[in-house]
Amino acid sequence: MSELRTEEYHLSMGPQHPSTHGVLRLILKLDGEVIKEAIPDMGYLHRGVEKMMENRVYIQIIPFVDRLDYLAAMNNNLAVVLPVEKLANITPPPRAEYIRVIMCELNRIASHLVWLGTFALDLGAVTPFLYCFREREPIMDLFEMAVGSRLTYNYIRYGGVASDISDEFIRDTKAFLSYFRPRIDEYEALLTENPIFLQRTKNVGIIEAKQAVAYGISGPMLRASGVRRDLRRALPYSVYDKFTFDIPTGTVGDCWDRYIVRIREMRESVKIVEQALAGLPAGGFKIKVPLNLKPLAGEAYVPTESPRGELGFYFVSHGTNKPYRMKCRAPSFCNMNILQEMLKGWKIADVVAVLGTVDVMLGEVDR
Amino acid sequence: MSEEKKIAAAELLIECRKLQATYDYLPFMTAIDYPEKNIIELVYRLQSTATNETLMLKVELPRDKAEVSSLISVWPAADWHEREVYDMFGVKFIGHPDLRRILLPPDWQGYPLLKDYTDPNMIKKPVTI
Amino acid sequence: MKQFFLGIYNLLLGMKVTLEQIVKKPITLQYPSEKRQPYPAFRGNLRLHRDKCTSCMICVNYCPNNCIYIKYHVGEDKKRKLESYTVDMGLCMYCGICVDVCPFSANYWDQSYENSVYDRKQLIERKDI
Repeated sequence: MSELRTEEYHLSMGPQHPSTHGVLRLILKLDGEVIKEAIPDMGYLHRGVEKMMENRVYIQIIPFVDRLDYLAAMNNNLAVVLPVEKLANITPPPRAEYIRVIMCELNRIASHLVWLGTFALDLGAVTPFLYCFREREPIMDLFEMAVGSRLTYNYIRYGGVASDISDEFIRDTKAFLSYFRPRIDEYEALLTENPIFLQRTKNVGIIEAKQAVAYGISGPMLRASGVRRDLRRALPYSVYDKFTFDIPTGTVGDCWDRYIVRIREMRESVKIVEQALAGLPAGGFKIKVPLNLKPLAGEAYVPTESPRGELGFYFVSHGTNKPYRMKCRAPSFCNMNILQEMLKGWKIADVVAVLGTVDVMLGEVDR
Repeated sequence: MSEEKKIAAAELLIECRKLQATYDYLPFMTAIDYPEKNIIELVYRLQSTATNETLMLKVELPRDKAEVSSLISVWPAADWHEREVYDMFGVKFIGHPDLRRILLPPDWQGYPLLKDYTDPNMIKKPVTI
Repeated sequence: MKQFFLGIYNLLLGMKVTLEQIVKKPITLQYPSEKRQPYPAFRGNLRLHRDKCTSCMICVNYCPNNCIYIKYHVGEDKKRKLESYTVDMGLCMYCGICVDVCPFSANYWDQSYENSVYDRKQLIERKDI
């Protein structure tokens, strides 16, 4: 009897696979069920934002960056505003800085909630998804009250924020935070020690600290590998140096560590919002900035900590009213670089768990 | 805060091997096109995770022969960034194992982020300030 | 064995959370029969106070997508008279820049959110009527 012929099996996962969260295609080269090679293929959502921005004046840039990382639009707003303010020598009033921090941290909670819900859903747990979206709804309502928009805000502007927050907003935010704290314990009761969840995530998709740094990983993924690096603390921007909060880190760098780091980050965000609300100074929320802003010639890059990692916009200005070049340092793009290394040797079912903990945001990857 | 350093394209790989001891983290690299000076400028942002020291490394390449050695052996993070710069500017990275287009389709013609790029389907913004 | 009982305990702990939920009041709205009132700041549909508009074209110039079209003629008193104000809501990003930049507060948002239509052409509408 002759030997059975064996060959490598090529499987295209996505672009419409529900666990790829958007339009990511993974070309998997399989030996049975074991992945020999994984090649991410993206660009399905490419809109050419960097080229478009070369034809737009500075105030028109902000609504476009909302659409990059649409789950954390407030963080994107802040990241794009800071370098331009640096170039144009604008110092926003302290009240505006505090409002920015409150909004960004609320948005971080909302973004992590979507991540947690969809990640659990990918692993087969439907209940956390419903709970997470239930808790995300009040945050969206808070944004609607203050901003007017629920997903893409265009709220943080050069020299401050678009509108002041009301006492009603402060009251509702405080009420939300006291409601939200025990909800995190509920998620943990559902997932953290759940034996099925542990089997799917413990010791799966390990990234070592040295490897993570070399690959330029940032955000919760880097911290899960045990590197204590949070840009809010390392290179403080806005008023983050005034708040006390912990930087949660993992030990092994597996999927479970990345999960627990994000859960703990939500608790830290609650702490920051509480401190910011307590210390909210009075005063103006915006200083007058010319509509047709012309920053000085030069270049600026301010790294910020978005829910996914280091987010920054590199601006090159030639002193005109349009940027000469704008480069978006998208955290998901850089975090996904390691995916091809991470997936080698794991089974197809683990792809879902690994991809879930990378927390890819395809709007940002493809730009 | 952040320092700036200009180096020649030929020395990039040797210089970066030395720099890697201090700056272990490469947040991003990108390119800027200057058609009037006939150069493409590569910008590397290097950082040290321990001390947060930052260095902006700049390399100028001639526009008609934009070639530079790949830094993927020094910082693996450079992999996709170099592919993106190749995709958008047409800079060739010598020594890159997998230099393909990353965001645009593989059969795309031209390099869109060059300042003189035109496409028949490009719509001009109707109102500009 | 200890592992086994710990696992069972943790499963039951999760089930306790879901069981507690059963006795709680549902928070969902039965949409078409129950309607939610948006907050006053809500960006619903772009509208124009026709009497306040001076056809200064600032909102047209600053719209990131150029989705506002204004037609005017110069009257006998050398002031601009508004003829039509059209917004392509299919292009509109609901960013609110036009409302912010208007020096006469002529642009404003209403609170409608049931804006879906069957045909794209219906999204281009005159807002001043």
